[in-house]
Amino acid sequence: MNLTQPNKLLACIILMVCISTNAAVHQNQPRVPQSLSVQAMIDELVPYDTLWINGGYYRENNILITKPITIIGRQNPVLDAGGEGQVLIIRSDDVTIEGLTLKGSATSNMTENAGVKIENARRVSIAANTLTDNFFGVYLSNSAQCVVKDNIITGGYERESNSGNGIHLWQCDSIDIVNNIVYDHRDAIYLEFVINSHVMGNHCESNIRYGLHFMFSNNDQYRNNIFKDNGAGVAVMYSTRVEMTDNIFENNLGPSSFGILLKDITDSRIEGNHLLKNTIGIRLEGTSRMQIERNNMEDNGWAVLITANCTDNDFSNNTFRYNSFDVSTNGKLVLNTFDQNFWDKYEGYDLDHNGRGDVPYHPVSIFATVVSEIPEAIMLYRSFTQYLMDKAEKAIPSVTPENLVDHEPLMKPPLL
Amino acid sequence: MNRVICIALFLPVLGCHGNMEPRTVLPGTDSCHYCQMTIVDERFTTQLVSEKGKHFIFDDVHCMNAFVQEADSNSLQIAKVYLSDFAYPGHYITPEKSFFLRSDNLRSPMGGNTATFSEESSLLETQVILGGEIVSFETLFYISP
Repeated sequence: MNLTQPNKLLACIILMVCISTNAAVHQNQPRVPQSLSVQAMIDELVPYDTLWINGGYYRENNILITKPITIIGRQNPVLDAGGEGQVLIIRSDDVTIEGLTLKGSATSNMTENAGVKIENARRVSIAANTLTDNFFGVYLSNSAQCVVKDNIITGGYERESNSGNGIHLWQCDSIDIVNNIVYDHRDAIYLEFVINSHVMGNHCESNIRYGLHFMFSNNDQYRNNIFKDNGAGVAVMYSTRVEMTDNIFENNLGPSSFGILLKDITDSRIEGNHLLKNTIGIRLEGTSRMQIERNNMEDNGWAVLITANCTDNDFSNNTFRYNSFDVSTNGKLVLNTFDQNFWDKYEGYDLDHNGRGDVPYHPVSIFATVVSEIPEAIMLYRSFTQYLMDKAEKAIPSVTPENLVDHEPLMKPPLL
Repeated sequence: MNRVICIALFLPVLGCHGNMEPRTVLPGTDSCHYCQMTIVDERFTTQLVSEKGKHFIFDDVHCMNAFVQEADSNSLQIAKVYLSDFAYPGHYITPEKSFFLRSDNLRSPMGGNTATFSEESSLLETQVILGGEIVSFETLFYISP
């Protein structure tokens, strides 16, 4: 074929456009060829520039961002650290990372390598990225007003207990963790010394330890999250003023698994949650002034396990259904109230039709107490021995705490 | 012959005294005796063995200390203390032969932030990377080994 001069020019232009759609675009002008590294592209930017990366595979580690920029990936560009160091390190305010795939940060005993590490920064946004096979996924330390949103974070499955946390926050303030999906990490979301933060709409499944882990973190909220099939459920420890509302805790099974493990928590609220099929629904230890309201506890081994050093906790309007044991405790002293809950094992009546039973209900059965002391006794569950023990204890209470009682048990489950 | 039978009869009784060796910890399955947290990071795991041979597993030095402080000293008599070697996690060593590094950069599960080493050289290597101070057993623990 014999091309005329204008046709050649046209072909050249088409070719150039083709190349430019595949290469990185700087300020919407095709300048940077694809062979350059992401670090080189970032180094060329001036503050508040936007870098568009259209597809491509970049085998690069420890990419450092020290100025306020936006990086947007289209057609799934992959940044792979290849098991050495970290992928992205952000040490600047006002950075936005969107639409990238970040993978392969190294497992290490010394440094906590992450897919994205954010250090001493404000107003950083990590949105709609995919993080796979990283030691830690998103790691924020000493940062504030950041957003981690719509990311899909999966851990290295073969590394098992060596894997780090999906989203790890250390000493942060006002962070929003919204609508992320976290699989196969150690703890899906981990907060240590974090204040004024929101964890909302996340889905945390099959993580090795906890779906969510709070330590020394005050004034935080978590809402509408789903925690499912995690090694040990959710742990909230050494914190005050934590709000846990409308979450689902499901299928956390194992000898030390809990829907929610509370240790040394004060002045917090647990409301409108569903605790389904957990070995232990809620375990409270050294916990005080909690409001536990309108929760639905179904199909758990123990719905509530409360130690004797818990005080002033108020359980009301909760639904206890199909649990093997409703409540168990380890002492005779009870300084908590359990009035106005629905218990499916309640056998009383309501002659005055006010919706509340006329006979008080004692949710702790002697057999539950025995099993919590001697786990092997579960062999006798639903046996004649158990029936006999429970009936005898009901007639003459001796072991179970007399004041752990619902004075007005509800006849119908409350609306959730 | 009689003597053999005697020994054979008594062997199981001796066995009941309990194993004083450290037991294998299963990360992801075992939980800390004190804080109930599932153990995942075996670099910081510690063990106590009572006189009766009962093993108590802790995820952090901090939890072991808290447990010992709160425990009734009459009912709990500690025979052995074992600490995981930071350089070889899951390899348990006794405190007399160990070197200790305390550094906030260690970020241990419960904030004990103390690593134990069997070799001084690996402690120094770690100290170069993470910083921190070398401490003695006495300053770390409330228990005498």
